[in-house]
Amino acid sequence: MALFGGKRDARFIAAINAELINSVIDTEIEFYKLIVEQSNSNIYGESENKTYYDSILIPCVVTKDDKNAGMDDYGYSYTRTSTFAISRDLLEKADFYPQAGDIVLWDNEYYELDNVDANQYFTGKNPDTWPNGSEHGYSVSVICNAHVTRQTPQAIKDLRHGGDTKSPAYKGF
Amino acid sequence: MDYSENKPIWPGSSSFTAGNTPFGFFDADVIFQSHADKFAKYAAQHVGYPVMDVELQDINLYTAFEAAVIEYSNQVNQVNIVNNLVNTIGIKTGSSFMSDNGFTDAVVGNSFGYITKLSKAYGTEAESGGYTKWYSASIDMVPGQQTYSIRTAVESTMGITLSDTNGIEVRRVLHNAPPALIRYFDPFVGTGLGSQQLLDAFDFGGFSPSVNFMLMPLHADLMRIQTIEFNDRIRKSHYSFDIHGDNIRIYPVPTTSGSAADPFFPSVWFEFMFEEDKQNDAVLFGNTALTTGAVSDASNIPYTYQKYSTINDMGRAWIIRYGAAIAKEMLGYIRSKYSSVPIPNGEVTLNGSDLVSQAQSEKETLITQLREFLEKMTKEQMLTRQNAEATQMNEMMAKIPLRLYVG
Repeated sequence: MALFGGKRDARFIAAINAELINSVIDTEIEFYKLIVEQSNSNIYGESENKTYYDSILIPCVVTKDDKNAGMDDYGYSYTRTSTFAISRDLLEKADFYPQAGDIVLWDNEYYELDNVDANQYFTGKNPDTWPNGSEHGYSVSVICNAHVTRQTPQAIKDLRHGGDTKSPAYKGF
Repeated sequence: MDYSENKPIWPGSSSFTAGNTPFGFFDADVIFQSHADKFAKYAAQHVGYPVMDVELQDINLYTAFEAAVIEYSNQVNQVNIVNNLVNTIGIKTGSSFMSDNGFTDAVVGNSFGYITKLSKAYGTEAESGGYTKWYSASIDMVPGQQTYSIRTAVESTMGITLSDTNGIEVRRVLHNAPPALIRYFDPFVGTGLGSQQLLDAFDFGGFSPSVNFMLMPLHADLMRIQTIEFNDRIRKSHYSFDIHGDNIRIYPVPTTSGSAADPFFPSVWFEFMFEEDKQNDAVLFGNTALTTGAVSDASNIPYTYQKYSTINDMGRAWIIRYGAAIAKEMLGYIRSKYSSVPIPNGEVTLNGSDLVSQAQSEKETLITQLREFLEKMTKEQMLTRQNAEATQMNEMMAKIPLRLYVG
């Protein structure tokens, strides 16, 4: 039985995380969850009309990478990747889990999630999977890697009519 | 598992109940109960609440509060002990005049009890009193035998058997030469002093029927007695003894008979004390009832913790500041258990070590201030100050013009 990293310590870490993310860092992303059932795909697995839930605000630690600009035959474009690190506690409380394909709006850019991972453990233990029980360790975060997508994701911004179709975001937790 | 619940942080308020502190020394004190919650609020706000979370709970803060009161009591009692141990040493801790709190909250007056007891030990050595009892024993003289066993004489005289640890300290050997006066005829009777011829020369010899009475100066008697003693000391084997270990050697050699000039002594008496008695007296101060339950040193002088409700505001202010420092130290230890804390996609270092060093510095400063203050409260310091005050007062009074009359 491990001497360190027990439930008390995990709660302490969780409390520090909650304070840092909510009160100190206090950056929130607007999260659009993809509705897979309403996003019909063609025979190639592509969906021309994706549908998203109304957005929710989720506090997280954002790491915004530098822009890579390029000019080609079609004109000027750029790429950018970012990482959105979300407290796993918050997601668990909101009963929400991000997945690849979801859209994030942050700093006036839309990002599409490429990869979602949860492998940051306190004292190296995931209490959900540690063979010696759930009394030790703490799964700190869910890390979402994303890239900037086009600025008018379908069903989010309606360029044809101007403005957008989204409802005001609400707190996700 | 949802770690967002039951976070170990200060919730912003508390409700003290008896039993919330580790020792519960002051839990029954109503003022302490009331101040415990106020202190918790103060200490939490002292380290950043509500702007920042404070990873302490009510019982941590109560513990700090209790520890601060204990420390304050401890410091005050140390001075009390310095002041009063000499006046209370030897007093039975169960004395009827003492309350349950011992000397706490009591005024302890001056007493010479300890000094008196101490002086009796000197009295024992100086043979002018003391607690240790003296005994006497005698040695029967055997003609021609000079050396005798002291222990044997004690055993036979007292009818006891001495153990190897029963030491004997001989204080006096009653073996002296007979006084010269026994060999000196009545000085008022002129016989043998040559005074008869003197009287006859003046034709006074026939005034008395058989003896004559003549008043001589006192120094004439002293000189005659001194002459007899000098004669014995220089020309004869004098009355004396040597003690080596258990043996006593008697001078002169005992004989079967004696004369007026060299009397016969059938036995020699000596006075002694048992070393064990003396040692016991040193421990017990001559009173076996004091073997247990008596004030002997700083560890058992009956000073209890001060009552929180009787501590004045100045003392409470110190307690609050010291308790806040303890709380800060606790918080520092909690925040420095792990050198870095993981946050999503990174880690942060908390200010635990800073809090600990700051808190320790604050505690040290507070202790130093209190010690310096309390050391001015010792009886010695107070008397010195009063003396200085009186001296200054005299000096000022001396400057008042004398015989100044304002009509």
